[in-house]
Amino acid sequence: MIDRRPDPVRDDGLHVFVPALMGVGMIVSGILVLADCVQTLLPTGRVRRRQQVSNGAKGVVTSIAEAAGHDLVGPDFQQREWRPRWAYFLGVFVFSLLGGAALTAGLLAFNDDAGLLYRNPWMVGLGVGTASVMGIVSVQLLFFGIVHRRSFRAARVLVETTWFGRLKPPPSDPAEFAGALRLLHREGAT
Amino acid sequence: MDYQFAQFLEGNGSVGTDVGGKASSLDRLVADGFPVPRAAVITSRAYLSFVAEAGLEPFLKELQHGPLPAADQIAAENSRVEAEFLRGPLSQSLEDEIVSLVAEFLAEAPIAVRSSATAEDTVSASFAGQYETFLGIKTRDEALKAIRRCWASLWSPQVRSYRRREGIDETDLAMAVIIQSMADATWAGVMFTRDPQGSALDMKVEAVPGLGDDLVSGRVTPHGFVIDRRTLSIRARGERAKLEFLEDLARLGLRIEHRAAAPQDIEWAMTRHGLRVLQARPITVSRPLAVHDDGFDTRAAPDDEYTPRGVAEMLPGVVSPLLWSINAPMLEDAFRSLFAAIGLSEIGQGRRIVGRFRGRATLNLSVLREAASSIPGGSGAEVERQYLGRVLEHDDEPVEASGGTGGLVARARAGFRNWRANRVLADEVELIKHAVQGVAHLDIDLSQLPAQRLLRYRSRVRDLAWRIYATEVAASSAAAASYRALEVQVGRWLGEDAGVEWAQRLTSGALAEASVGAGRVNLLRGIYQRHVANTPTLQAALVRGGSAPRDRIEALGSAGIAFLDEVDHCVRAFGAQAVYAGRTWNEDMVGVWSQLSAFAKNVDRAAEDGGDALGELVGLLKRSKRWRFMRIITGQLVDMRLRMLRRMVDEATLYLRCREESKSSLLVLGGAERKVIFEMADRLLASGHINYASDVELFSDGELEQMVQGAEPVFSQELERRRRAFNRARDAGPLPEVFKGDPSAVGRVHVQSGPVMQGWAASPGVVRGRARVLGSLEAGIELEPGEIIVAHSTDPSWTPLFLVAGGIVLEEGGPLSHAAIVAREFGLPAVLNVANAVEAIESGEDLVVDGTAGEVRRIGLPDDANEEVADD
Repeated sequence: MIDRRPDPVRDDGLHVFVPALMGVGMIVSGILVLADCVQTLLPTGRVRRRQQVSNGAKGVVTSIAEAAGHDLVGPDFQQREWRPRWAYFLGVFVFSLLGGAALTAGLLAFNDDAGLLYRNPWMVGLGVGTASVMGIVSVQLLFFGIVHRRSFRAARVLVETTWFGRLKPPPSDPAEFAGALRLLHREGAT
Repeated sequence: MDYQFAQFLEGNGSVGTDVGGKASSLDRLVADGFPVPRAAVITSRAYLSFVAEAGLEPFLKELQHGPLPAADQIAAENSRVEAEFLRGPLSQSLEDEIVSLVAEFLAEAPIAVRSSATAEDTVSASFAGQYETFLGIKTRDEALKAIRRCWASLWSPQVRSYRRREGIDETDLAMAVIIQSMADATWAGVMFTRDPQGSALDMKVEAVPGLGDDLVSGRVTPHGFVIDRRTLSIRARGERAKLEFLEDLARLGLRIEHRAAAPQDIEWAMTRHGLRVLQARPITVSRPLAVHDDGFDTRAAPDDEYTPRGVAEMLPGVVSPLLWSINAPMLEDAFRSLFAAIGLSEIGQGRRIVGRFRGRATLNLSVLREAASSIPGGSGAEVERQYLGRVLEHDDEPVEASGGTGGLVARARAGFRNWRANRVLADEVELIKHAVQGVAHLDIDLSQLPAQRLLRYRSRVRDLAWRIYATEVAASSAAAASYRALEVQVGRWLGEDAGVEWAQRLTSGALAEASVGAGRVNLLRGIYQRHVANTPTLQAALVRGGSAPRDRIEALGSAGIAFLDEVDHCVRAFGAQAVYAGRTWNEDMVGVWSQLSAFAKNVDRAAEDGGDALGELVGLLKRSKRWRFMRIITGQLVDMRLRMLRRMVDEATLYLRCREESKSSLLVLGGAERKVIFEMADRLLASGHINYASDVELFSDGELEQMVQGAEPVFSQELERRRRAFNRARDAGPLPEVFKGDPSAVGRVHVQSGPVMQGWAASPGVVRGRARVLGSLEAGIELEPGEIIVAHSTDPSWTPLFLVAGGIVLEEGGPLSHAAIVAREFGLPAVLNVANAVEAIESGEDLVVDGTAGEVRRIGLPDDANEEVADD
């Protein structure tokens, strides 16, 4: 039996169908490529999620131990830790560069008699301000790079509570997680 | 005044037979330090004295043995009973006591008069709303009348009907009456610590301004709230009212639940002095159909179809009352939670999803089909394919073709709901895995815990189990859907059969580490490598030791003892074998020894990693001219179809892994619950409640809890009846694959016995070997390397046998059943769904198992051997 239905490719007298199809395909696949790139660049929040999971699990085990009249001790799984030393020095380099660039751009704009911002003091202020902030951050990073992992209390507190430190991955092996928990027999619990 | 017929509820341990269920529960609340308004109880002795004085016994006997009135006679019957109780004289001493007690309360505030029957507020029957309660009583005469009407309500036609339906014995019934100060409430209402209609992870609160009687009477529409049990985050239902105390109320509810070790239905009031608990009783509506069980069988809905497939792996064989009462509500609730999460709460209302026939677990196929058909893009046929491995032919109703109902918007909405439900699945499974390992490592000496604390511990463990069950069912559903989508998609490109085969290959390797059985095998393999691989004496002891080589190994000295220590430690952590809270691996170590001896016999089959099946498939597709042409013609800069394929494989693998890991966690946690059951058995044995520890299996969960708290034991005749029913159910044999209504009316429809038996191709490959028909795991010790396992079904405890076997032939099992997954992991040819295999095939027969074609050929059987067809 002969199939007499129109074939969109062969019967496309206007030669519109195929280019249109290809065009749509290219646009869609282009969007997909872009989406993939963005997805790989964006932070996945995997460590944060793992930390939340570990802390949630610790809460569940704690409530079970408490029901039996015991306390459970274990680490706080939502911690931050030192980044590798090179990351601090890289930060120093990047922030110094950015600070220098901001200051230079501000001064150039201030002195450019052909420019719109000629003799505009705000530009100098903005450049100096930005450079100062970047400078302070760079110094801070340099300090962290030098004292790296040594027991400076102030440095440790900053690393453990701000983005100067990275999220510390909790144990991924459930057995290791369980091993980090310790049961304390409460006085008179039984 | 010294009261002979009354007592104050001061937490002194009032006995239920004296003060009734409700008062006894209030007394416990007082004892536990919960805020309860001042209350006293006119005991059941007062009721009995009144009945004797008033000469009501013949009248009550007549009610007890007489028929129930017709619907149009109920009001008249009610009036007749009330008139008898209002007319009867009170003895002077009783009246004096009541008047004095009431006056003491009325001097402070109006009172509430509540009935508290001796057969009330049990775990299995709450009698909620069946007996009378009177609020706002201000005078002595009103109080006396209210008390008499409370007594009369014990014999109202509604209550008699309820008792008969629940099978509650009417002899020795009595009614106590609670006198309670009315709380000066700004808000009042009820709270369910587990939402009976919604998710088990939610609490439900209904509140009205002022007194709670408006709520009970239905005069006002309450403000409704749903509270997450874990985070206490609050969602309002309907009109929103800002109640600052809701979080405190929720905490109070959870504390009461933990004390009572059961979900609670709590009446509460918010007064100027803070929250007050008016009464608390166990929720029975969360397991609404349990009360219809006669001990072993569920009452079948005549038009519903049931199947043991899909649930028999988790709850294999005849399930004891204890395991049933623990597992069935959790499993039922897990399905309901899943339905609620995807917007199908109304499906299957009033019908049981998880049922039990001949003592065996079943699923209500009709409800599952309805649910699947209600999802845009889904169909009942997919449910049948998932559970049965094939689509049924229906005489009465057409099976909807895949494609489902609803337009684009409905599909998008359903897709979004599914995405939202699945989004958190992987994290939830991770949390569960970690928490369960944490619990398994808790070294708590249960024998030292007081009863209440032991029950509270168990209640928290059970909370986690509810959560895992819900996750397991959600993961199973997501896994089935994503696996089928992969099968269909590859089938569109390469043909239906190729789709089935590639879906198996693409997902099997990734499951090697995650599956319940393989995880255990790997652990034992590690121990074997460390201790035995280089110690010939230990190897010999394992090979020669049969099912109990412990003595031989111990005799080998320190090396043997170190090996045994590690095996014991490891096996304790395995938890339950196949049922949550069921038999554990260390109770019966046959499976463990058979696996270790298999290693010693050099029969070790490592799970196959599946190779680079995806790379192979991608190569195959890319080589196709048509494929390349389509890519060019549609202008795909990147190959979108391959991208979609990779995503589908990732998704199917992720959800299958989630399912296996949650199942594994449930079994490990089951070991912790089992320890509590053993501890309870020891205590009941010591207190003389039971004669044998194993008898606990014949009690329900609620009965066990009550007995551990000191309640009367279940009668020995009842225990004997259950034992007989258990044995009868075991002898009755397995259930048909699918049946409608009562399974006893259905027999085997198709009996195969010829030289070629057909089944479902579960794992590809062809193997020839001797048959070994196995009726139980214990019989597996006889299995020789390379033999073909022929059995009814398997569960995770059978995995060690898969190491030794050459092939698998089972009467039951679907595409995603344990046997299918593990056989594929190990590269074992397997044919499932072979009807009558156990009966037709004999041990020692020569078989060819063709796992690709789904055939079992019996070598040596004449070709003209007849097929039997029996229509029972």
